[in-house]
Amino acid sequence: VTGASTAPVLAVLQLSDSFADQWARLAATAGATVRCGGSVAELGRLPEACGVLVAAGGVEVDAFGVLPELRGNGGPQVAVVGAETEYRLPVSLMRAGASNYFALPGDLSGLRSWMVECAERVLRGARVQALARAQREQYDFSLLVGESPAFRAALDRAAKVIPRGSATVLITGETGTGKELIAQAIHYNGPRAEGPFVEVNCAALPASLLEAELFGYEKGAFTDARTAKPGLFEAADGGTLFLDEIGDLSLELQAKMLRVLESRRVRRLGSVRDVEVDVRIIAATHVDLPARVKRGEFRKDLFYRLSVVPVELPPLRARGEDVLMLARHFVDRFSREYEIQVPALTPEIHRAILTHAWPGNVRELKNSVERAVLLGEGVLREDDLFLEGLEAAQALPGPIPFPATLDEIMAAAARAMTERCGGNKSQAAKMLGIGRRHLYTLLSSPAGGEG
Amino acid sequence: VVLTVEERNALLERAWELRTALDYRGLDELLTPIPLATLLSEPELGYWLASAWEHLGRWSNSLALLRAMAEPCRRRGNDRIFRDRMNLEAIVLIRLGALSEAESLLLDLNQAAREAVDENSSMLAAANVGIIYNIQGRWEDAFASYQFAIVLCQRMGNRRFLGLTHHNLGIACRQLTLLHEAHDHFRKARDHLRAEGSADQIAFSGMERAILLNLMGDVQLAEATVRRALQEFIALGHLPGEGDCRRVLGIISSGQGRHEEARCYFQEALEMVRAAGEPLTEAEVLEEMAVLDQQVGNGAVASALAEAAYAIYLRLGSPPRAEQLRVRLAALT
Repeated sequence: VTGASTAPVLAVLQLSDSFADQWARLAATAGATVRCGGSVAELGRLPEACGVLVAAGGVEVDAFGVLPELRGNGGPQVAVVGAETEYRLPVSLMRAGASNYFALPGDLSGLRSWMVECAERVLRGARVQALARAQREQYDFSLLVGESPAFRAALDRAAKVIPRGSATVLITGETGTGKELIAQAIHYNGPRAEGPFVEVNCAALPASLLEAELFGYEKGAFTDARTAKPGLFEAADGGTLFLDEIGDLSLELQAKMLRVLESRRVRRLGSVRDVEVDVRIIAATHVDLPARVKRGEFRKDLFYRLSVVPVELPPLRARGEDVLMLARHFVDRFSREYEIQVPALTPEIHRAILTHAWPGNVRELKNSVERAVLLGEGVLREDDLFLEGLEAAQALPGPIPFPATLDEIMAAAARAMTERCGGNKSQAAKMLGIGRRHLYTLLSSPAGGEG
Repeated sequence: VVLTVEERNALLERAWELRTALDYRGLDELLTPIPLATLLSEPELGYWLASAWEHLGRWSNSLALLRAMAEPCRRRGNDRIFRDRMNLEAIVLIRLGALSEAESLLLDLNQAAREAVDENSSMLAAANVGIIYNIQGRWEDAFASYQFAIVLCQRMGNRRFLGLTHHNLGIACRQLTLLHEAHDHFRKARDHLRAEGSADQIAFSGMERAILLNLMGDVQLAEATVRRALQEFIALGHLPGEGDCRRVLGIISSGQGRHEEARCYFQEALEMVRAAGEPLTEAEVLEEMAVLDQQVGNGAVASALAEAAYAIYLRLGSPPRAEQLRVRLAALT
């Protein structure tokens, strides 16, 4: 193979010398290099070529002799170039396995277009791989920040499902806990990474529009359906369909969704034919789906179909010191992104981060840190972390009673910190600066409520 | 004039070099003297010239050439150029304000691309039809189009387009008040554009995000973000971007009750976008000026400004945007 290693290579089988000096220049304008040979054997490994050009100007009939060998094992497309313009020749050549016939000098433009298409196929494959690689690096599981037991348990469960490319996953958790991030990590680290990751927010569109977008439609299926359109299920073929806010799906759409999950087939609106789809479904919701099932708002059968592998993401307030790890991670990231000197996380900032409730979870923390980094220009200030007037409103709910006795206050602090640490008492004791035994004592005191 | 293979090859090669270098003036100089019959017999040359004219603002010339190319292109069976031609014709029609015609053409392109399994053309059609819906203020349709375009961008591995489409989807989400979604899309746009986009695209993304931050109530961050974008546009010598940033600064100032400051920003923005020949942004600036005057009780001035904005929206083929402005002003009355 000649030429730069990244450029697609066009193999040229020269049965005649007509236009021989033109191929390399023409291929270059299509972004390809050429490898020429006088016989099929001289062309080397054909599967590596983006296309094969049989140069047969004046000896067009000879092309019939090489086509079976060139097309023997599939391989790249083969086009024949000649001078003959009589229509029966190209028809016969195409019957013999050629994809195209170009009669020069008249059809130079067509030949170039074919070369562009051949080169583009190879370049596109390389681009898709590069994109998948970049996304995999961004969503690598090892980069997901957090050590709290609840978060690690969720990650472990998600990681187990990665190689099982067709397993349906249901991710639950409050708004902003990172459901989409986990879904992307599953997709980009798994066997479908080079397929599309299609994100649909089921709450974003009215039911009728959502139905058309998900399932597609045939021409004339409704007033505005001027042309047929495949839905996102079809578009996601070979990849992952991430259905966010699945709890907001209408009952009618729930029934259609169940049918797809059971049959792995979709039917466009206005069609009588099903289309098979190969898609991994990852659904997510912040609502309590079992409660919705009980109230008859969500189909029980769909719930069970979706929750083959349930992954529950804990809220940030239950992730203990993860909040500080995440803050540090975001400070580094945004400082790098905005080309600002990395500011220090002072004890005051630690305290502010630890005492804030983060009702918007990781998303809120990320936004706050970005804000503080950008506004502080190298210095993190508590004032910059929060929008004006927000601190008081969104600080941790007041578990510390007042007025109260000192014992009651200490017991309440022990309770609150234990809750914040997701029940991990060793961590809670560490955060409070006391020993575990002392914490147990406080929790088991009459004021502690664990007696 | 019939060119020999060598002459045509040399011409194609030179045109290809100029096109790769985005030298549209060079393409214009090279290909304008070529007889029309030759351009029609070599559809790629015709297409590149039409594309150069589109970039140089000679939209009517471009449209005429593209339409003249349609039949020869079809006759020669060069489907790829035929579809590229359709997409370019739609872009020119958008520029000329013929949005319905452009939409219709893009829907046809989408159909043709699907039949030919040409996902690149499908991607372009979906993204461009989304732009029409943006101009028309049909945000749900825009949302759906961009959502589909994103899948096609992924299938093509086209990060630059992926970034631009996330950016446009962010705008659609913002208009649909899906604020968190909009924020996520602007973030993704920035990630992809930083990898493969251009500096002005990254700056635009920051500017649109600033509007969102302002809507979310984070005035301080909105202002810091748009000022960064403004500095980037100034460094690039990008007049339309600079004008647009001043419009956003005006919106922020206006929202804070700093009316005189807002008025100054809007005035500067208006001059810049007019000088840059950006009618949609001009209408948007006039709209904000009208809203400001309505807020401070200058009803007559507001009406005059609104009329100027309506006229542009209508000329651009966007009656819904004109209607949205009417509703906005009525709500302030």
